Amino acid sequence: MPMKVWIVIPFVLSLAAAAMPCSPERSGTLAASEKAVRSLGNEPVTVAVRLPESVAGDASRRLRVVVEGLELVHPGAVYEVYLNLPEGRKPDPEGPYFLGHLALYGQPVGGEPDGRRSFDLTDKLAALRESGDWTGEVELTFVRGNPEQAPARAAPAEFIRFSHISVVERQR
Amino acid sequence: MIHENPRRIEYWLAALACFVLLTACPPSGDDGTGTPPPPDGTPPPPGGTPPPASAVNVRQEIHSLTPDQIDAYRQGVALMMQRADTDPTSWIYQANIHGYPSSSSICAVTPGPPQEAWETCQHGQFFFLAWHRMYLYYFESILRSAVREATGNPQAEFALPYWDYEDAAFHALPEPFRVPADSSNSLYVSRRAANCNNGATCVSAAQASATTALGLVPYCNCPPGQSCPGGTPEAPGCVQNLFPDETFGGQFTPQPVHLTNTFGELESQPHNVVHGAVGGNFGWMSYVECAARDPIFWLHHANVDRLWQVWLNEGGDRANPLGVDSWKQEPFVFFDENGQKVEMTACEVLNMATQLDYEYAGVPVQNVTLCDDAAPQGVAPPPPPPPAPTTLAATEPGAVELGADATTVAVNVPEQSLVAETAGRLRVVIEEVELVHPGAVYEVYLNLPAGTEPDPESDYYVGHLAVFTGVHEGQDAVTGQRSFDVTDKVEALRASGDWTGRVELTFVRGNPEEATEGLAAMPETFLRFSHISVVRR
Repeated sequence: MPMKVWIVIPFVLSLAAAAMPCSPERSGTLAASEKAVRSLGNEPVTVAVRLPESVAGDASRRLRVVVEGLELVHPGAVYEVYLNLPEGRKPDPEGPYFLGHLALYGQPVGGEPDGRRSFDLTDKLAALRESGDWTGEVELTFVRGNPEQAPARAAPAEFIRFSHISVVERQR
Repeated sequence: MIHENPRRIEYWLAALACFVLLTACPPSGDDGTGTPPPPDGTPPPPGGTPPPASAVNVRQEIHSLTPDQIDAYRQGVALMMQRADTDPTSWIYQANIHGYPSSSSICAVTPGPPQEAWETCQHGQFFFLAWHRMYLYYFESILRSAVREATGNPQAEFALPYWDYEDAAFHALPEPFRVPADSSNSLYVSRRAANCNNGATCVSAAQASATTALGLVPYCNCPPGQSCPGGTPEAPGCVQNLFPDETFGGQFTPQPVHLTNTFGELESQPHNVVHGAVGGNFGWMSYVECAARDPIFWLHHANVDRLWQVWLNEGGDRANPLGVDSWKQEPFVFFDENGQKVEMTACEVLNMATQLDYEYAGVPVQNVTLCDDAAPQGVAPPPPPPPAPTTLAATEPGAVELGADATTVAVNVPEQSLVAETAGRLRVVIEEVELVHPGAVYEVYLNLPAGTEPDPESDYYVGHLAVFTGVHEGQDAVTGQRSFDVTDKVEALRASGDWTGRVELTFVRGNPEEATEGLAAMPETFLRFSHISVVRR
């Protein structure tokens, strides 16, 4: 006679769990900058995050940088995003430091900013390592890519807002 | 980096093949519509000559159009602009399907109440491409009809052109849209970035590039923490553990969403970028509610639509998400050239040539699976498992029983394991949890100091442990795990100097009951578990 037992079916999630569910995306986060309100307007903005040494020194990892908490404030701006652009170097979207573009399209929607824009770092970090310029710090510089020439109206001071940048790992 | 556009080569190869076959391509000097000029040498009527009844309308790059075709195009647009805003075949009604303004700060408010289907464009999720294909298809039908009416040629051929801004020769805004820069030109709009309307580079090579998007294989991703329905090799679903811009087409959604920020890569670039480049700070193209009033909008989206087919043609497991019912079956409302309301689903727009009677010059329609041909929806293959967690510490397995009284279990966490690797989140896991008697809910506390009253509002509380009951006699017990993210709490303990090197969990029944007369005695044990562990994931 088998023992009488209860079978456990799914667990009820905690009613007011303080612990946040661990989403698959977040589980791969290796480093993140401080959260703050960061505004992109007409001047360049730079944000950096230092990777743990064990990550920075491991060339086999495939890393991706994520601009988190994106929010559209005013439409119309296109930003060029650069990785570790040396001081004094002219931003050039045809140059080796260019990662890609950031542009939002839509309307300010309110609520919790949930937009993200991500870029693969694999090739760029390999190039930095090869040239000896890799410091273990991921530094993004945002430069407006479509500044208005002789605008009829003053440009808005702020187009896009974000909270922080993070670096995640992807499988090779 | 500037690169050669391989699709231009494709275009010329196709053009050469057409020429050799002497079928659709015009000999030098004709109107470029695919039909030879009349044998008597008289010029074709405005708008071109009619195609054969079964012909597919070929959308050509705008720079390939002849002056006569541009003229007919302008006349059709002008006619649509003259129609009443409440006429579904009018320019404003069609533009307002994309969006309409609530103030006149950028473009003029449309008087009267909003009309059916206005402000229904799909952005920031995986309906983006299918919805805009439908939108363009009916707009093109309306404009073709308007071209015929305006030119007085009921058989005039018209197909919506596209703007291939990625071509190194076409970075400037096409001239017919900026010259003449006055009201005689229905394709001209003053509200654009100045460099676009003055003929300078409007969309740079870097801004125009679709290389990253075309290199991506997955069509769509599942939202974080969610799974998506469907998915077989023949009818793919959306992929987990990816950001939207690691996919070509964007993020899964169970129902239409007008605007969100979870853009697929193609929508991020070139779509979003080109909208901003053309519109600038205050131009119509930058604004969802005004963009479709600018005639260049339709050429931009025709190019985005073309890139969808170019992506499929790249092969290599690229496929539409035919395993996702919401994507296939969601109906969207539009209006045809007679002003009649129509509904359309993604299943009806997959093959542009056979289902919608158009194609793009130089882009063969390949690698398209129709809904009926896709395998029936099956069980989704299991998602790839997340990286295995690293166990930092664990108690000895045994039988820990939870009853009416508080129970505490502790494990030492080596300092070395905490500092050696800081990536990932720290979680404490209650292992092999087994239901003994239903009905109890436990509050779980981390490092609750001796003598401190358990309080689920306090910083020591990490969550609840409860097990849903199912009663099946005569079967082996099923056990499970319950885990909590304690990263922030451990960091706070370390920062405050209260970290002892131990993770100590205290289980306190959160719903104690007094013994009730006439009912069975209170069970001694409600839950049992084996041990706790601390992992980094």
